[in-house]
Amino acid sequence: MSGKIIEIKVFDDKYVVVRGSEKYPKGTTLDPLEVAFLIYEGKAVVFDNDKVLSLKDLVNRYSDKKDWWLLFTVLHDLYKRGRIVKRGFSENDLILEREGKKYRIFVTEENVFLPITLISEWIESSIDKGYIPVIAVVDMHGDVTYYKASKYMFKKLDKEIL
Amino acid sequence: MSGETPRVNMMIIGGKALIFDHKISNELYSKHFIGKPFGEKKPKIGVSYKGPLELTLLEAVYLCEKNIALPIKDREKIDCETLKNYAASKDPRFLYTYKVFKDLREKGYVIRSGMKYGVDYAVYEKGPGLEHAPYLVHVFKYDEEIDPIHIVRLGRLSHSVRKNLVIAIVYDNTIKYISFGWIRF
Repeated sequence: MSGKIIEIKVFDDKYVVVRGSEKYPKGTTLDPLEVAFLIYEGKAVVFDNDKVLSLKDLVNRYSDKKDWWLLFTVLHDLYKRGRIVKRGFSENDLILEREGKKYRIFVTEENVFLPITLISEWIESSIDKGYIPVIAVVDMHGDVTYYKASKYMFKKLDKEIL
Repeated sequence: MSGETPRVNMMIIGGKALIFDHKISNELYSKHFIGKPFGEKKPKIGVSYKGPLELTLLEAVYLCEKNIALPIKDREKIDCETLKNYAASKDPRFLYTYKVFKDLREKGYVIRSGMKYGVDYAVYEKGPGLEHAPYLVHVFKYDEEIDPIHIVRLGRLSHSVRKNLVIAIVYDNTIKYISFGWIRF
């Protein structure tokens, strides 16, 4: 563990930095996913009144949100790769900006069947919003694989067609 | 090649169709990569093979609808709709996989089995023997569900064989194609 440990306090279910750093200035409100990451990495101490929250406490608070742990898994994976991500437009996606490109990441896992139209519509809406759609699939051991999606058009070939 | 009357008969047997006319068989394979000369693992273009041309039911329905070949089943002529229904009785995915087959065929692509890659179709712009199939296409009906790990499996494979993975989603009146490619952040 290195760097300054920041201090976060919970006010009305919001996680506000009260002793910050260059990266996390005082007064910043953080998403619980990011707070969980900071706790896990030992980079933050979080107080809810006088109680210090652990990762377990945070997971327990959000355990009714079905994709929360999945989102945390992907956020953790990307943070560990040095990428900065934030919440997306829906409950199971994240936004990542890198090298001038904007990615919208749909978080899902193996063995959970999804309607193919849901994926298709999500891809189209991402493209419409100006994002490169990416599907992040978390496998049974928590490893994440990323697939970039795009609409494809088979052009008509210039040849004799039967 | 299409005309008012079909140019050739094709015999429907089980899940295959056979064309015994060598001249038309050669033309269909060498020029359009339809079917495969029976018993030839890697048929050569322009070679005249003595055996029948063996077709999938997808190809048979396509040739029927293009009025190129007349299906004969149980020694009786049948129409294209009957052939289609027969094919659908053998393969519950037939009616929508055929839509993709027809769409790509009508755009000039050559479609061969993608079985060895775990997908429906290996799709060529020129044809087998002339290039490596640049696309792997797997077909879904719009109301199907997918295990996301399936995308990973297909994506891994297409990446390792350097092909574009495309998923075709078939709706009642349209087909949407989505390509997937592995990305590392």
